[in-house]
Amino acid sequence: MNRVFEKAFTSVIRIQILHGHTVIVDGLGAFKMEHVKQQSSRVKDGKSVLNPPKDKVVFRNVETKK
Amino acid sequence: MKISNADFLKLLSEEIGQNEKITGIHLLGLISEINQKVDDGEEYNIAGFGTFTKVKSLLAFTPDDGFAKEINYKYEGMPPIDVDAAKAVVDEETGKQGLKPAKTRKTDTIIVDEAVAGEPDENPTSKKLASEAVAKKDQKQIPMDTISKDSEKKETPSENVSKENQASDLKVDMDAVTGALEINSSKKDVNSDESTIIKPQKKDISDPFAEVIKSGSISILNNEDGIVEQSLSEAKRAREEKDKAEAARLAALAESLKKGTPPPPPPSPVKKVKVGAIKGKTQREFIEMVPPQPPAATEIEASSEVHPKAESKVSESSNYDFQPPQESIDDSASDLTTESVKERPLPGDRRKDKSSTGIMLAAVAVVLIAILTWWFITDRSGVEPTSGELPVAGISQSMIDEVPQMEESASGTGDEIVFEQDIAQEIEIDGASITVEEPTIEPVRSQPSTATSPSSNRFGLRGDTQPMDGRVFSIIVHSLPNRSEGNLQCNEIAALDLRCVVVEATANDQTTFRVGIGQFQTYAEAQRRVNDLPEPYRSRNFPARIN
Repeated sequence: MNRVFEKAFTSVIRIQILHGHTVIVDGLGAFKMEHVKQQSSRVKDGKSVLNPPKDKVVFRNVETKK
Repeated sequence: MKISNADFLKLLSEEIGQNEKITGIHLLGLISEINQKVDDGEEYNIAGFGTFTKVKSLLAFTPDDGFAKEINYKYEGMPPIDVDAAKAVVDEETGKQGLKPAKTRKTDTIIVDEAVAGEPDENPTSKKLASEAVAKKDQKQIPMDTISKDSEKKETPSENVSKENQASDLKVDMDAVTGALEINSSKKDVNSDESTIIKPQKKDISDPFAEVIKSGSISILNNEDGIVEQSLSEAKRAREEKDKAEAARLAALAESLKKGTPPPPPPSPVKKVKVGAIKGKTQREFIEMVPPQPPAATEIEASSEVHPKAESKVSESSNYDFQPPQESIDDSASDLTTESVKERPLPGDRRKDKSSTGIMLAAVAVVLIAILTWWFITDRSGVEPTSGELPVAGISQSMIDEVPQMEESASGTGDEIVFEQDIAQEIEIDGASITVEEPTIEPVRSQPSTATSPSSNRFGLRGDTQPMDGRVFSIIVHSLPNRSEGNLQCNEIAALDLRCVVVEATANDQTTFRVGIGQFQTYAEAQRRVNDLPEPYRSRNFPARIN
């Protein structure tokens, strides 16, 4: 598959995710952005650490519509 | 917002720049390729995007680091916070301030994320914490309310005590004339050493002297008719003097009894006049009410009795000026105190000021008019004409007069009289320089001048021309370039039985011959005789000095 199409494919998905939209691609799945709140966790030393919040890309396999 | 496959195709076709069918075909090819590889157990990596893998028979996607950072641009770079270290710092700070560190659980620390604000809280523990925080706030508010109520209850008994003291325990009798003040108080709360002060109501806003009372210097007593200010120290002095007077009277009585003499007469009863009774009374009524006071007394006397010596002094004085006690009368309408009266200017004073200025102005005007009339008169008389406008050549008379008298050299040879004058002078006329030479005068008609003509015939409008002796004025009617023309004009004038003179003059480096009618001693006379000239000479002429 040519790289030009891949670049276009990825750029469109990237832009829409940055806008906070959920992109559904038949045959693949749904790409969306998910926000993760800050969380406290324990380190191996036993110390408790407060992790900052973050946004991440989430992919869910969606069955193609026939 | 969800973007469906169709919308995705549209966006993709716009990105590529091709039809949706073609982009759809390309997309299907890509998807099938990914699925094939994944199904084969391999990974499909798209550079700069991520990797597709199969996890538990399901397609999975892991984004690249760059793509993940790009998505997490808001929070990228935020490091995790060590809670224990932060807590230690907080504890140190509270310890320095002397405050006890707040007992909080680790989960109590909540950092609010603005982006998440409003979203449904998935964490169940946070809900509990929020509810506990609200409950704590409510608990804190309760003691404040109870405390406020208790404070209000405490204030009421003091108010009641002040009211009772104020209303019932005081008995006030005031003598407006002498300024005597008797206070019978049975108050309990006596604070100051010198005086008994009644504390007014704390919350009595209407009482304007509440603040004054607090200071303890002045006591304010409420009277039915009005409020009177009186220092209690003066009242005490009054009481002492009264006691002394009574003691003296008693002593005198005892002595008289011992001696067998009649007792001294009791002092005149004190007329007690209330403050309210003074209001609305005229001065005469007040005098009848009140025994005369010494004129020097301006303050209210503390003694209840009028001193007999003071009365005698007042009665002896012929001019008794009533001066009502200023402080005893609390009449807001009676503003006519001695001080205020003195301050007010009398109406006559204002009028005097106005009249004096008017007189000054009138005097100045009279002087100016006199000066103007004198100047006008002198100008008309022609004693020394200082300035005059000449219609011709713009030469002012003063310029001509400035020419000094010329030496005359008469050489009479019978019929002709020739005057030679050798004076030249520059005169500026309106910025132009003019050289005026001595005119050479040649009488038109030569006549035998055997004897000098009498002075009366020397000057005049008619008659024969006379020799130029001294200052001579003439009425100039012509100014011609040559003498012959001047002589012709002169003959015409002579035919009218008028005295004519031809005079040579230079103006602007040009010699002209002026034809003048008559010979006059003064400029004013020449000007006056202009009216006697016939037309056209009357309208076109100017008097000028020709000698």
